[in-house]
Amino acid sequence: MPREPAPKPRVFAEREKMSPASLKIPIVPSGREKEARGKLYARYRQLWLYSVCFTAFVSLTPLVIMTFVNFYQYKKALTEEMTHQVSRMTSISRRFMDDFLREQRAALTFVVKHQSYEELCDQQKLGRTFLDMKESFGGFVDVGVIDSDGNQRSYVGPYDLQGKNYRDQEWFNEVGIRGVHVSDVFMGHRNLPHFVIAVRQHEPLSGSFYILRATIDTKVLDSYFDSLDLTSSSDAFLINQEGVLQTRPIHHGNVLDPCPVSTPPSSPPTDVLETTTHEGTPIILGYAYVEQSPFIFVVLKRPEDVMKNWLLLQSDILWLLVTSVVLIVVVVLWSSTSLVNRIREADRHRDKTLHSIAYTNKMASIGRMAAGVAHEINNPLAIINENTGLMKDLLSLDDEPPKKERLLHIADTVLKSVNRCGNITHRLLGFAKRMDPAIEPVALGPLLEEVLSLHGKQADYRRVAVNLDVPEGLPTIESDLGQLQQVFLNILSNAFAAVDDGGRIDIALSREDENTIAVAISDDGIGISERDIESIFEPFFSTKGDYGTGLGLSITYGIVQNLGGQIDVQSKVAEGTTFTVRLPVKRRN
Amino acid sequence: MKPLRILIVDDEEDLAFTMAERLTLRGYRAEAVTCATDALQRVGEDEFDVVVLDVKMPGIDGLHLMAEIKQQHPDLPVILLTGHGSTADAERGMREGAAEYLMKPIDIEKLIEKIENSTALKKDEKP
Amino acid sequence: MSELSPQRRHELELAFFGRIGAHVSHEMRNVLSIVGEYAGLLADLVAAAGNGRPLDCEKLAQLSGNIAAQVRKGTETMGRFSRFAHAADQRNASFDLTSLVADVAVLAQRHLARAGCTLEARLPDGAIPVTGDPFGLQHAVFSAVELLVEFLKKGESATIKLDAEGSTAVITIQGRATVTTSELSARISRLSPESKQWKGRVDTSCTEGLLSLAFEIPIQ
Repeated sequence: MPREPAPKPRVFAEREKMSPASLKIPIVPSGREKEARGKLYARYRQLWLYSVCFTAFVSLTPLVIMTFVNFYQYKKALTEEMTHQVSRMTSISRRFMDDFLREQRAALTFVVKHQSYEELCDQQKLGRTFLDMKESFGGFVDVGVIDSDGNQRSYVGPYDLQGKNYRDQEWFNEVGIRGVHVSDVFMGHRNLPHFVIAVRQHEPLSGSFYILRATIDTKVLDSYFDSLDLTSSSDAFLINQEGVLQTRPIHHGNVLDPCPVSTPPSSPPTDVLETTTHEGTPIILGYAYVEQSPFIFVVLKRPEDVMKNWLLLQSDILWLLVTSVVLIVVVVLWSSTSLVNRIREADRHRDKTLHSIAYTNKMASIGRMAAGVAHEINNPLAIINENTGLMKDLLSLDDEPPKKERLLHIADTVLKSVNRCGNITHRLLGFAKRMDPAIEPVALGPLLEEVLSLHGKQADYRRVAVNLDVPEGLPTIESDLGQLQQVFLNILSNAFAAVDDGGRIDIALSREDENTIAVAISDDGIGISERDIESIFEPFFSTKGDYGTGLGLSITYGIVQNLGGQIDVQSKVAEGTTFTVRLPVKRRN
Repeated sequence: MKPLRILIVDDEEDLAFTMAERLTLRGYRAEAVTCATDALQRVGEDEFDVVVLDVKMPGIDGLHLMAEIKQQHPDLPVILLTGHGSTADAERGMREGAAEYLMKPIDIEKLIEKIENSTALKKDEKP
Repeated sequence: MSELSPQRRHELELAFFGRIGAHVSHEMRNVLSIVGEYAGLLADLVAAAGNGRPLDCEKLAQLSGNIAAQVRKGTETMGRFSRFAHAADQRNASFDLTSLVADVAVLAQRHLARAGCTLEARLPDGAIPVTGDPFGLQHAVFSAVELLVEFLKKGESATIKLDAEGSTAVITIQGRATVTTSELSARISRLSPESKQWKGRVDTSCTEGLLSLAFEIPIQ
C-alpha cells in the first residue's frame, strides 16, 4: 500500500548536538609534567655530582700525592744532610785524631831510635832532648825511660816519678805486647787534663826492651774542638771505652764526667746513629774509634735545630696545600656548576626545538590529512550532484517519462555515494576526536586498517598491492592512539615513497612474546644502502633531497621510544625495506 | 548546426557517464572514458570539439594527459575539473594551455557555459 | 596577558584543530543524512509508481533540487575546511583577512547557535592582505568567541566586526555580558593568542555590560 509521503523529511537519525561544554579547552594533566621535571632535575644533579667528584679527584689527587712526596723528600733530605754533616765531622775528626797521635808517636819513636839507651837514661841528656822535643813538637809535658822490668830509669818533668815501678800496671803489659800505648786522659800537672803515650824499643845489647814514655797535654785537642764551630744544639768530645769524657764538651759537662750517651758499639768503628741520650732526648750521634788509642770521637747533634726549620717548612707546605685545595675546590664547583647549567640549557633548547619541530611536523601531517579528506569527498559529492541533476534532466528535458529502473538506479547511485562520504567523514571524526593524548586500549589491526585507508587512493592509483596480516586473538595494547597513528602513517608514507608503481607493501602483526607485539612493514621498493641505514633515524638525515625534511623517522623513533617500544630497520638496496615496530602490551613505567 | 562533440575523462565512472548523459540530454554529443589510455585512443580515432578532464586521475597525471592531447591536437580546447585540494594544479594547467577550469561538484549550467566559450573561441579562429 | 608556553600552545592548537574537524564531520554527517533521507524517499516514490500511480515528476524534481541544495552546503563546508587545513600547513603566509574572518564567522555563528545565541558579522567588501600565521589567528579569534559565549546570556546576540583603520585591521568581538575583572583575567589567560606570530595585539574591556575583545593586526 503506497504511503503518503510527509511534506518534510521524517527523521534525522544521526544529527549530533554539540553542547558548549564539549567545546571547552582541554587541560593537560599536570602531574605527569611534574614527575618528568623531577626526574630531569635528578639527572642533572647526578651529572653535576659526577663532574665535581671526577674533576676534584683528578686535580686534587696529584696535588696531595705530590705534597706528601715533597714532604717526605724534604724530611729525608734534611735528615740526610744532618747525618751527612755529622758523618763528615766524624770522619774529619777521626783523621785529625789519627794524625795527631801518629805525630806524637812518631816524635817519640824518632827520639827512641835516634838516641841510645844509655843516652836516654842519662838524665841530663834526656833533659836536653826533652827541651828539643817541646820546642819542635809542643804538647809534651814530661818524658821518661822505663826498663823492661818496669823501673823508671830516667825522667824529665814536673812529677816525682824516680824509682817508680810499673811492672804490674796494665799499660806496661800492653806496651810490652803492642809496642805502643796511649792512655786515657787524667787530671795531671796543674790540674789540667793530660794523657800518656809510650813506645817500646828493642835493646840490641841485652836483647830486651825499654820504653820511652811521655805525657802530653790536651791543648791541641781542645783547640781542635774549639775550632769545630758547633751550634748550640751540637756537641763533640772524646770519650774512652768506659764512657768517660776525655775532653771537655763544648756545652755541657766537664772532663772525666760520664758521657751523656751510652758508649757506641765498636763495630762498625765509625758510624752515624739516631739514638737518645740517657735522659731520653733524641739525638744524632756520630762516632769514630780512634785507632791505637782508647779514644772515641763523639759528636752529638740534637735534631731540634733542624726541626725548627723543618716545622716552619712543614707549616708552609701545609698552608700551600690547604690554599690550593680550597682554590681548586672552588674552581671545580664553579666550573662544574656552570658546565651542567650550560648542558641543561642546551638540552632544554634542543628539547624545545625538537618539540617545536615535532609539533610542526604533526600539524603539517594533520593539515595534509584534513586536506586529503576534503579532496576525497569531492568526487562522491560530485557524483551525488550529477546524478540528481541527471534525474532532474530526465524528468524535465526528455519527452517521454524516464523508466522506473533508470530512476531507481540513480537513487541507488546517490545512496552509495552518500555511504562513501559517510565513511570519509567518519574517519575524519575519528582523527579529530583523538587529538588529545591519552593512554587507552588500542587494537592495532583496526588502527593499521584505518591508516592504510588513508593511502587507499594512492594504492589504487599506483597499483601498489597492500597486504595486512592480523593474526587471530591479538590483544589490544595500552598506548596513545594519536601517536601510534603518527608512527604508522609516517612509516607507510615512506614505504609508499620507496616502492615503484606496481610494487607491494606487506604489513604483518605478530605476538613476539608475553608483552610484545611486533608490526613489520615491508616494501619491495628502492631500499636503503648500508651506509645510510646507520643514520636513518637521525634528525635532519634525508635521502629525499628537497622533498624530505629528514625529520619524520627521527621523530617516529622518538615517539616509539616514548611509548616504551623499539623500532628497527632492515633493508637491501633495490630489494626492499622492512621496518619493525615492537610495542609493549602493557606499559611499564 | 552540428552538435558539439565532447569527450569527458574522469576516473569516477558514475560521474563521467552521468555527466555525458546530462550533456546528451541537452543536445550535445558527449562521450565518457575513465582512463587516460582510452582518452588518447578516442582522441586519435575521432574528432572532438572539446575535452573535459579531471586533473587528478590514476595512472597518468591529468596535466600530462592534457599535454599529450595538445601534442596531437594543439587546437583542441581542454577544460579541467578540479577538487579543493588541486586548485594549484588547475592554475598551473591554465598556464600550460587549458581553456577553462571548474570546481567539483559541478554546476551543469556553468560547465555548458565554459564549453560554449571555449569552442566559440576556437570557431572564431577558424578561417 | 600572560604568554603560554609553546608546549601548551601546541596542545591547545591541536585540540582546536580537533574541535573544528569534529564540527565539520558533524555538519557533513547532517548533510549526508538529509541527502540520504531524500534519496530514500525518492526511491520509495519511484518504487510506488508503476503500480497504477503515475510518477509525480514535480515532486521528484523538487526532491532532486533539495538534494542539490544540500550538496552545495556540504561543498561550502568542505571548502572552508580545506582552507582551514591548508592554513595549518603554512604557518607564515600572506592571506586575505576578510575571507579568514568570514570563515571564522560562519564557525562562530554555528557555535553561538548551539548556545542559543545569534551572531552578526560585519565585514568589509574588499580583501585585506596581511602576513602572519593564519591558523594561529583563527585559533585566537575562535577562542575569543568561545570565551564570549561562556559569559553571554541565552538569547543574547553578539557581533564580530572587521574594520581597516589606516595601517591596522581590527577584529572586534562584542556581546552583552556581565563579568567581573578577576573572572575575565582568569579566563583571558586561557586565550592562546601569540601576538608575535601574527604581529598584533589583543585588547579586552568590559564596560557597561559590554564585553569586547579586539585583535589588532598590521596590514601588509
